[in-house]
Amino acid sequence: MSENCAHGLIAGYAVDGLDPDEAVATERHLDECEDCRRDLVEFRETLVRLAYAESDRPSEAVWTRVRAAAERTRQEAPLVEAPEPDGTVIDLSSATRWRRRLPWLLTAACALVAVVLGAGLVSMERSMDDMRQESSQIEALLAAPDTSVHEGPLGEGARATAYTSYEMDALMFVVEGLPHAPEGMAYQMWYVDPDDDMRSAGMLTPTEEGLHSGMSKDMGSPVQVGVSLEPEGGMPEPSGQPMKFDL
Amino acid sequence: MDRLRGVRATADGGAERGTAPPEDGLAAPLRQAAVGDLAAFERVYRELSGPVFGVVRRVLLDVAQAEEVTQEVFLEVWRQCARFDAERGSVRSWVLVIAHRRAVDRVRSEEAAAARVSAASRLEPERTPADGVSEQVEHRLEREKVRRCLRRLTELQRDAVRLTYYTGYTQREAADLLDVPLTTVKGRLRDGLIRLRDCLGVSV
Repeated sequence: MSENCAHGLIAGYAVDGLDPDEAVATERHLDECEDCRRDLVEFRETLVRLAYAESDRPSEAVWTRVRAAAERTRQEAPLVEAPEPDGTVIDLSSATRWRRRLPWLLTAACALVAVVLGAGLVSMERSMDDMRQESSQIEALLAAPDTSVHEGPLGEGARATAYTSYEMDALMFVVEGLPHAPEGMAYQMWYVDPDDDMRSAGMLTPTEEGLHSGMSKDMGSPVQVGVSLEPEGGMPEPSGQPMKFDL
Repeated sequence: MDRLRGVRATADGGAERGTAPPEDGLAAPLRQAAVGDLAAFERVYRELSGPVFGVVRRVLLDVAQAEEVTQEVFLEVWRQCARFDAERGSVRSWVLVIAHRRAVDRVRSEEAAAARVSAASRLEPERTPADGVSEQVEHRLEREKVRRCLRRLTELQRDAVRLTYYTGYTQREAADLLDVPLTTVKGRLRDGLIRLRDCLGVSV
């Protein structure tokens, strides 16, 4: 196969769209064509993005089976010595875990706004100005260099996600699975400081998608976020023991 | 994507800048997995099982088979961890190559091609992943961005990408199906991937 011909097959190779003989020729060509190797790496990274766009969680049984099979499957001999764990390893067994920063920074804010505010922009009677302000706060929070994402259970059956930045001194809190607050009541957030003092962190707002979310400044260095059911306007102190979420 | 309507203006204003970094942070856990560390392997699994399962299901159009192949993929990853070569791309790219190949191998060996074709001609199903909020955010963002970039392809470029990558046809089969010369499909596929690459801001 001529060089040009194999050259034109890189895209087909990347999508596994070649006949077997073409694939063999392309692999041979790749060994000696640096540009082609670069093209292939880039095409594959492009396809990674397409795959991520299809992303969906398989049932947990898949991991159970993979794990069981892995335990009795011999691995190929390592070609390089494995380094010591470097301390960045995340302990998956803990109920909550720090995740890496959202990679898409500003554009991620748009999606977060979409998740948090959902389609209920009008029905929630938020003015466009409020919207813009909220969305720019979310953007700023996500763009902060130290923003972390923390996920875990909240009370019974709810799950919370906290986006925190000490630099921005701000918290974005999103809860899934909270029951609707009764008429005249609403969920209030509390910063729980190390000495167990609780400061109001504002109210959670329900979204049409059944989430509750709130953005709050003046975070300080709380160890937990509390959530309690309070009269709609909020209270200076929680009236009962709030549900706690560890930061 | 009705839900995104409210922020469409903002999202478009930002064009497609701000892209995922090529470094996926999985090289270290993969190295640990290579010496039998199952916890490190689980981390790789948690990060990549979504896209692996998603793309395999997209090709196979069947949840049960997609789960089976997902399982095979990760078992192969487990076996081959030590053979991963960072020079040739990221961990996720390596794993997704294995995944796509296995999915394609399976459909090509399947007798049920006809059923698959009719299923493939249906519209893409809307899916709401049962993920945490941060996953949902990332997922929705990525899906929307990819869709926008796919929309920017010409019809033939899009068909070439769809029939090969998403459906698992060879270029030759795609050319037959589209009733265009093979060289056209090759060219459009290449153009399409280049345009997608640029639109998604992939740089290595």
